[in-house]
Amino acid sequence: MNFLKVSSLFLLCSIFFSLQLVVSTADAEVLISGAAEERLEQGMDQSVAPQIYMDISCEYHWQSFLSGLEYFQSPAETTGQASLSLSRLRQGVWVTGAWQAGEWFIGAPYLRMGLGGYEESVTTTLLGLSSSASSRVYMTGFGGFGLRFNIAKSLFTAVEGRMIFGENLNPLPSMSFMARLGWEFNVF
Amino acid sequence: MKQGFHHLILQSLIKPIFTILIFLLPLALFVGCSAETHDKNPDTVQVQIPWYSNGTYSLQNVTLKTIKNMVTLQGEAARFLMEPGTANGQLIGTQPKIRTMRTNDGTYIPEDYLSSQLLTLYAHFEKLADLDKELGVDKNIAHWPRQQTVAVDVQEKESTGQVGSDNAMYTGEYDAYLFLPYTLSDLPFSVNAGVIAHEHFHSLFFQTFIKPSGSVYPFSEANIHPVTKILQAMGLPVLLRTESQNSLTSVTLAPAKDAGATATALVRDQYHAYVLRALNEGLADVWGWIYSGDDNFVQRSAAEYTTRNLNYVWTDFFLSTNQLQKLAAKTQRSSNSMNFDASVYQIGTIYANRLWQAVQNQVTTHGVSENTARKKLAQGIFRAVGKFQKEFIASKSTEYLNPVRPLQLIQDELPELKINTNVTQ
Repeated sequence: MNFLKVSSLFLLCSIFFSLQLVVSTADAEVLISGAAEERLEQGMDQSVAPQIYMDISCEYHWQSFLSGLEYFQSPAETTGQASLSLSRLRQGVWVTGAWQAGEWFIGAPYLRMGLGGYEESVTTTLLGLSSSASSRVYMTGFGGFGLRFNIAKSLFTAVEGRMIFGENLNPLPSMSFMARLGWEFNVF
Repeated sequence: MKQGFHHLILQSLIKPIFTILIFLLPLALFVGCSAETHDKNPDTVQVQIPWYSNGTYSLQNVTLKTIKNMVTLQGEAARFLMEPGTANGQLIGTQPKIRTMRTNDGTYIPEDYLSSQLLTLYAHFEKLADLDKELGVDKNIAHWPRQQTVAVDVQEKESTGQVGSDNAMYTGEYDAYLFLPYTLSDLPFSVNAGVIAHEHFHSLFFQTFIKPSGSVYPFSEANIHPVTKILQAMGLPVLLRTESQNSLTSVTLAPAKDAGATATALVRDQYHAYVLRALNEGLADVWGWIYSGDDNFVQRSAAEYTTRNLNYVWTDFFLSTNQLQKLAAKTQRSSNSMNFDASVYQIGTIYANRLWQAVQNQVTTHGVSENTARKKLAQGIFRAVGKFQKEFIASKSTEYLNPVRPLQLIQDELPELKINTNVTQ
């Protein structure tokens, strides 16, 4: 990501957490989690196959509502042969909002939505010389359903399915499934 | 009491407003970033692909004028088929879906190996169509402009059961280009400008010489590359003539009444198979150089072909009609088609080298730019091929066309060139 985009995202995060802290109450908690996400995307061989993304998110939990930021990154996908190869990476940020139902006997179900942007970067190596480039920022959003389980006092895990929309995605929508492990704590 | 009221205000008003703001902020930010892409000319598309210039390949921005869909690569210049098969005598296949990303200045960058190859192929077929138009080639071929059919990832099963690779060819059977998977460590055929132009010349030769000659054309082996076996290996039916049918056809052409006369007719067909296929290969190499400016394009993709170089001199002389007749007779007695193929490329290289040498001499002695000289040579070649085809059709059934005749015809078209048309004695 270039400097302008990193600065913009940093600014966005600062505004977000400032606002959250301003309105914080004693019953509000912060959730930090990491997830492995399996997205179904079209590969070079033309078939739709799973790609494993890594996600990190930070959320604010108040009553039945959660809102937060989520960063995602695909693995570097390298294709080609000795004289011509291309390596592609996708990363982006979502601002998410979720509504969580109360604890059911199987866990806590929730609905989540997100809106954000991502960019792609490609490094092309031709006859030993490499050249890297980044895409413009593509809009993206998702809607999903998940189930959260508390496994210890502050530890939780969750499974979630998403339908992802956005520019330059194939197929559209793309389906994803993720497993999440997180830590929930009260900042006050 | 005050704190309770404060909390009530927070819960009822401020949180929803902040939540909305939080969603609107990134939206505004990313819409703003997205709007950075500008199309200078909406009718054209700029792509970053491997491109040849100044003696080497590098990543360059190339403008495409005819592409309509950047995912399926639909456009006027080419039609791509993945993993082709046949139905009702037509080559069919699935449309590719390539993956590209777009930079802030609007340039499309391929994201994987296949996408890079297909975009590069499209770009070359568009530029080759431009070159054909500039040279006037389009006036002599029906249905112009033609949308080139390009089959990629062609899975050729060889007789050993292994999947074939590392080849590119044009087939007149289907009027299509076939690109097999490339497994070597050199420059892939599908991004090699010279190789693509070489195959394009085969399509021009097919349209202007082989197709108009019909059944007079000797053996399918003389047809471009030996694609018949490859097509069959791919499971594709051979639509036109089979080798055996051609042999029979060629026999009936000659006034053969006995076994001796039949053998003579077959030798004559074999002789012309040498001349015409060598001419086709040699001129295709010249066309590859004319288009790309690269006189060593074959070795860039297949380093072992050390003699497939336009400046490589096999011999100082050309085979005479008599010598070629002997070679044809020997080939006719032998069942080894590998010797035929090897000889064809050797003779083809002599054609190519003599034309290349003539242009180099003209550039050196008369100060003509090589680019201009190459294009004039292309026009001369195209006119000469048409004349040679008419001479071939008009030739008597006992006549053997002189192998240097095509060079003489090109010389007639371009008197300013000094082409070596010497024949060994």
